[in-house]
Amino acid sequence: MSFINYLSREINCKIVYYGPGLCGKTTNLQYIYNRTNPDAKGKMISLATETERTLFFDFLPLEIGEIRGFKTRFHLYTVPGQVFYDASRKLILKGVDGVVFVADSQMLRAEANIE
Amino acid sequence: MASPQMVMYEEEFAQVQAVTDRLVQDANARVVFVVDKNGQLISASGDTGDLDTTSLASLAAGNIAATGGIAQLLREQEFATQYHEGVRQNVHIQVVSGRVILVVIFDNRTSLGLVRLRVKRANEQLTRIFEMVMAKAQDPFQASPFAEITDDDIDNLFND
Repeated sequence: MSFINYLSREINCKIVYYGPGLCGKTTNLQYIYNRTNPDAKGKMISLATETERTLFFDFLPLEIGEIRGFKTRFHLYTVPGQVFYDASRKLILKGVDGVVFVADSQMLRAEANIE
Repeated sequence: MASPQMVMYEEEFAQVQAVTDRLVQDANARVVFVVDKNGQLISASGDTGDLDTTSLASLAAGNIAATGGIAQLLREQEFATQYHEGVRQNVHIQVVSGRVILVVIFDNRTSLGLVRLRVKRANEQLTRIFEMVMAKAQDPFQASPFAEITDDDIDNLFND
């Protein structure tokens, strides 16, 4: 759930990118990172394997702007897509405010999207 | 059931900050910070100048989540305390009240024993404060901080 700090006037939200393996969740985050004003973003962290598959999560903090005097901060996470990383995927989904489902548009991956 | 949304009002924030400020001094630590289990930084004290506290908060929460997963596999309730020993710096991580994480970064100016002793007292104080915070969050008469935010406000936020 979101965390609200009245003293620093901040609302922090957690968004998780979810979807099958190799569908482009990390690529989505990298695209946002590359297109965002440097003042509005923090460091992007990737906990990945040697072959650059997400092992635990990718993390990107973003500042979107103000709403009713509150700064809004979004923490974007991705989960590892492979089915056998089920346990770590569930851990990252804890306390989530929104989920972005990234589907693979290839016909051959239709089953993977459902799974 | 999902855990209630955490809202930190000025009074409780000042209390948390006072506990962490004191822990930095009493334990002779470099940095102390309190993180929500979802990875949101709540407060930081000490020499935070060159530290990426947002990333540290997220990774500390990920660490607690992963060891929580190990605990489940071993049919343990939780590993509430963790210690990482480095060459120059060490990290002591303590789960407080099952809801937040107290992280202490320290070097050779102090000892693990002193840090553990001081963390124990801070843990008790923070437990009381966060029990109050969560009781307020569950109070049905407490106004929602989102009550005044309209759909137009949200549209305006993303239209910039």
